[in-house]
Amino acid sequence: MEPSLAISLAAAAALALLTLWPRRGLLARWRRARRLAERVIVEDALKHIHARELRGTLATPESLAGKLDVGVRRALQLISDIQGRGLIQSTGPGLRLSPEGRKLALRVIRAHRLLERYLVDELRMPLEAIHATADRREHTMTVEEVDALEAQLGYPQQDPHGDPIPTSAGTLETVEATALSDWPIGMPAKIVHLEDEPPEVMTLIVGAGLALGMQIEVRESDEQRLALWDGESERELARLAASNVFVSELPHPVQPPARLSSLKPGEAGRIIALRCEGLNRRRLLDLGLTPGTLVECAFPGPAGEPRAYRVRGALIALRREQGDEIEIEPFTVSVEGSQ
Amino acid sequence: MTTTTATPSPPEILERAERLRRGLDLSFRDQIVEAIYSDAQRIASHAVRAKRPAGPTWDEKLDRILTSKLWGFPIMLAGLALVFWITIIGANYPSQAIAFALFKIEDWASALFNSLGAPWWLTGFLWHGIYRGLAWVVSVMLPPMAIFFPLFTILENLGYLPRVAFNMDWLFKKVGAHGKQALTMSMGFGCNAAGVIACRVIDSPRERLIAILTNNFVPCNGRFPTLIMLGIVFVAAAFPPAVASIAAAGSVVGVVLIGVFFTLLVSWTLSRTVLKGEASSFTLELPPYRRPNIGQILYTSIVDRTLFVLWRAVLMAAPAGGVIWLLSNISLGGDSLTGWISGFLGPLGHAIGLDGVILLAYIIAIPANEIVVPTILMAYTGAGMMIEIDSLRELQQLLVGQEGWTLLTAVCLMLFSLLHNPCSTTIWTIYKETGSARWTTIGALMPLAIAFVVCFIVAQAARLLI
Repeated sequence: MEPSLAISLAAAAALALLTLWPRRGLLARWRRARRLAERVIVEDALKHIHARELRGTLATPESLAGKLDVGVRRALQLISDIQGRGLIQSTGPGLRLSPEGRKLALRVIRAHRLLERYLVDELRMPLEAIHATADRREHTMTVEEVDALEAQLGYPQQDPHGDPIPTSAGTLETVEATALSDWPIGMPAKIVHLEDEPPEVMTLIVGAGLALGMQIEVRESDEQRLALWDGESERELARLAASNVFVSELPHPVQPPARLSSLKPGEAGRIIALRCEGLNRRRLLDLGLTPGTLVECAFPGPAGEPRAYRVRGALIALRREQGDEIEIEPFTVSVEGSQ
Repeated sequence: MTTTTATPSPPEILERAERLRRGLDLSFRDQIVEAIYSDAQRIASHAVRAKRPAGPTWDEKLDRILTSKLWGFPIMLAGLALVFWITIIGANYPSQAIAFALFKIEDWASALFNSLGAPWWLTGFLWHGIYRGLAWVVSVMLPPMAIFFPLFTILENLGYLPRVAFNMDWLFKKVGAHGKQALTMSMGFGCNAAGVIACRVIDSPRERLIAILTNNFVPCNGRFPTLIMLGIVFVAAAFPPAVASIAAAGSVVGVVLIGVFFTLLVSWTLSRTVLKGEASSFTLELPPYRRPNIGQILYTSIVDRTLFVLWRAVLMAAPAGGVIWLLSNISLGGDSLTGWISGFLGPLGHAIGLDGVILLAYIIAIPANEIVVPTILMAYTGAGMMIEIDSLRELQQLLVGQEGWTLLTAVCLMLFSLLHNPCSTTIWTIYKETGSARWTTIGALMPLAIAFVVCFIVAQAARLLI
């Protein structure tokens, strides 16, 4: 056989294999990508309709087109598609989910919020960066994988923004909260929810140093910004961002937080609470840093950090970030002889 | 069982659990741990009487010094240098004695084979190939390991290694990595594969991956013989005999510090590009200092480590010895295969300050770094040519006088040995630990690329300036 013929035959065979190989070939990959794109757009549409239902202003073909960044014609076609699958009700003005559609929407939201919890707790990604990653991954997980993730995370009930996570049975709790922009001046409040969309506003909120569970009080407010007091320092927040921060009433005045990291060598404190979740919290608890424990700062490292703390007779080194997550009350009596 | 109501079905139980879980206080996990700890504390207070001494305890005083701003780092460096120094001066004489004895056996055995009328290729392959590879590995590796491992185990048993991690954490924090990476690096001194497995102590997947990918920048025990030999032959030779061993130890410490620098640099780059993220929680227990148990140290370091690593090296060295003998004795067009391959690799080797034989040795030594030096020497001494190298002076004559090594060759070889790809065992371990072919490829090729780039820059700069 001619060498050139042999080479081109071999090349053709290789090309055919590359294209037609089951599961890994180009054709199979392309089909998979098509199916995924289809799933993504349907699930995103259901999410949007669900969000609008919760807000009380029903979704329309126009709002859906805007949300999904497609033309109105494509949106209408999509709506008739999912209507045909029985996922939305066909009656009345505005779009409403059918029970089946709601179940599917909640399943996607559940995957999204659990993924966000995972990205923050286990991978330590910054709060303002997780939304995009979770948005992509939520469509590729099976129900079993989502359930396994929930179990691995220890059945969290809220995502990192304070949103409740739907249960596997498909129930979603509602959070009683008021937007910070509507909160009266001078009334102590606790942050219970941070709205993560749009991400630009979330960046503003994180940049102002606000976090879930924080105690704050609005000191002043004008058209542009709010001045907030956290018991220790004053923070400024754009009014625009304040409508994305949700608070509930605090029964006592705002208290300044004392942190383990503020202890100097030789000083001691008693732990009040751990201000962290997930892996960090479990790790600290495992080391015996439970609320009520007496902790003494033993000595700093050569660079001032990390610091070694004496906890229940053991020496435990923590970085400043971990010390910041542990709220304490200073303990002034001599440590000697105490437990 | 007498139940008045029907047994609930599994879905009912699950639904009930779901409902009850919603009703739980968020802090129920904390309450469980608190309950466990308060139980433990109650039991301990009944059973244990602890008297707190008036002054600071011995442990506290030791910690103040070992972790102080002024002394923390100098003591660490001095400790490391001391370990290398003892290894170098202690291993020198036994190495020569073992080499002398083992090569005598080679002479006798090959003479015996010849007198029995065995064909030359059988004698050559068995005795000048396989056996000589084994002899090199045993004589080059056994004495340093038998000294280095017990010394290192003593530091481990004392409780000093957690203090090293404590002292170095701020550096790892700066580069976005985990402080326990210092511990996995320490394990890497013994064996990089063991160091990669040790990365399991890091909880965060991101930081564990950083620690796994950079563990290779700590020279393992298989690479120390190369570094120590170069330290003795090239660095120590430039100093008066009185301080020669100190200079050699110092040069090895210097190489280790360069390795630490690259660990930090690569960790920093990774945590700012492909492995972006915040530093995770760092918690490290500093156990009390303990008096080392000498018997246990000797057992674990000699049996578990030295013999284990040596056995692995022997398994790799025997075929490598055979391969290099075949390459040196099969001729094509008037030159041996070794000649052809090293000639082909020569220009590349020269560009990075090495030569073709060294690169060939590194290809043969992918299964185990331990056999790099023996392979180089066997390739140099060539087919059947008997050069007895039972003293370092002769070694120097061979490398400098015959093969044209310079200080630049030594420096580039040290850097290449430090930075190049991990051995195949470590690569396999990375695959098993990460479960990802992609990260394994990065773990193997990234160090190799860095080694080529660094050696190229050093070689070219040196040739321009000198």
